[in-house]
Amino acid sequence: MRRQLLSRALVVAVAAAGLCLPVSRTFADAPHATSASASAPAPTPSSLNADVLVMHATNAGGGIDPRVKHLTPQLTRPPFSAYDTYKLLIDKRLPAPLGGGGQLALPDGRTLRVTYKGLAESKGDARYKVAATISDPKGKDFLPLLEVAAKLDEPFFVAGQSYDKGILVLAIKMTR
Amino acid sequence: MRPPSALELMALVDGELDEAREAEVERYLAAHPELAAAVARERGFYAEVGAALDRRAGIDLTDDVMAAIDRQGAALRNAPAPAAHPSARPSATLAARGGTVITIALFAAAAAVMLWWQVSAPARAPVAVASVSPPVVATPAAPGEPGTSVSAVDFGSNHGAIFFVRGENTETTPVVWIGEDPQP
Repeated sequence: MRRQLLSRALVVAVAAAGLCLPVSRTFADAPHATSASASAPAPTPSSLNADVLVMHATNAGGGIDPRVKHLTPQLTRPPFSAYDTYKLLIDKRLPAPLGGGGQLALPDGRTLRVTYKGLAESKGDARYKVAATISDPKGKDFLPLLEVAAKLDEPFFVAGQSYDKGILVLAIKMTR
Repeated sequence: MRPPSALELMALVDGELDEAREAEVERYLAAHPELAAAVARERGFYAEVGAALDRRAGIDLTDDVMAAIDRQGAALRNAPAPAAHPSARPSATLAARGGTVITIALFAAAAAVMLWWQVSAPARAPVAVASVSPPVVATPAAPGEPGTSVSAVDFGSNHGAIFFVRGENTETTPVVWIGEDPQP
């Protein structure tokens, strides 16, 4: 039995060591690492913009605000279809220099911060590492961290904050 | 029929259970499909890892390590008894060796859980930090190319989940949903 346990432990230990390989590969593939990759990495833009739409979702029977009609395909599907009214409250462009970003005061008193962190690993179209956080008025983290690999002009959503008989829906899109 | 213990199941997977007991355990598994499925998964896992090791190294480290342990054990047994010091008692030495085996086993178990989790989790799928009670059932990840993907998320003390919605084209859009109790 002792031999059996040892055999099992060795097999699993080697397997566990194997788990480290993808991690180390991830570090090796980081934009600043030098590697013998076949194609040169795309240049990292020194600055992007974060276009932020802040919408108020309720069930007031008001439909979708014409100013966010382009988001209708998403807003009419779950989980957004739980609400029938989407009103645009804020449309703001935040300049996001590499390593930095901007912040936006939200209607519920919290603050959204968007940070552009550089080029993300991607096999196809370029993706950009973007971090978003939301903190409350006292500085306490409400959403401590969200990091995405964002494609230009493709939004991602942050939703769920309670606000005035509904919720806030944030659509964040990185643009040049 | 006596249910098999965890050690017996391990021995079964390794093919080291005695014939009579193996037949009993197999009959037990036939009547307990969930346990049988777990054993099958473990058999598959060890077969796959073992095959990979054979392909890569073509050696079995077990024999070498066992021999080293036996040599160390023999050396300890043949060593002159030291002065009466609590940590040098044979029972303490054996306990320490037992502790080593247990530690190795714990590491192995942790690694197995990690590997099982990684294999069973959807590839690169973002994971909600905590369970969520979304307002509706979300659309599962669509097969289209993701436009933007979530690399990491920390919901802090809130509960949350990540959904995917299809946009105007075939691309999917992530939705990070933070659960918050409604305001009065």
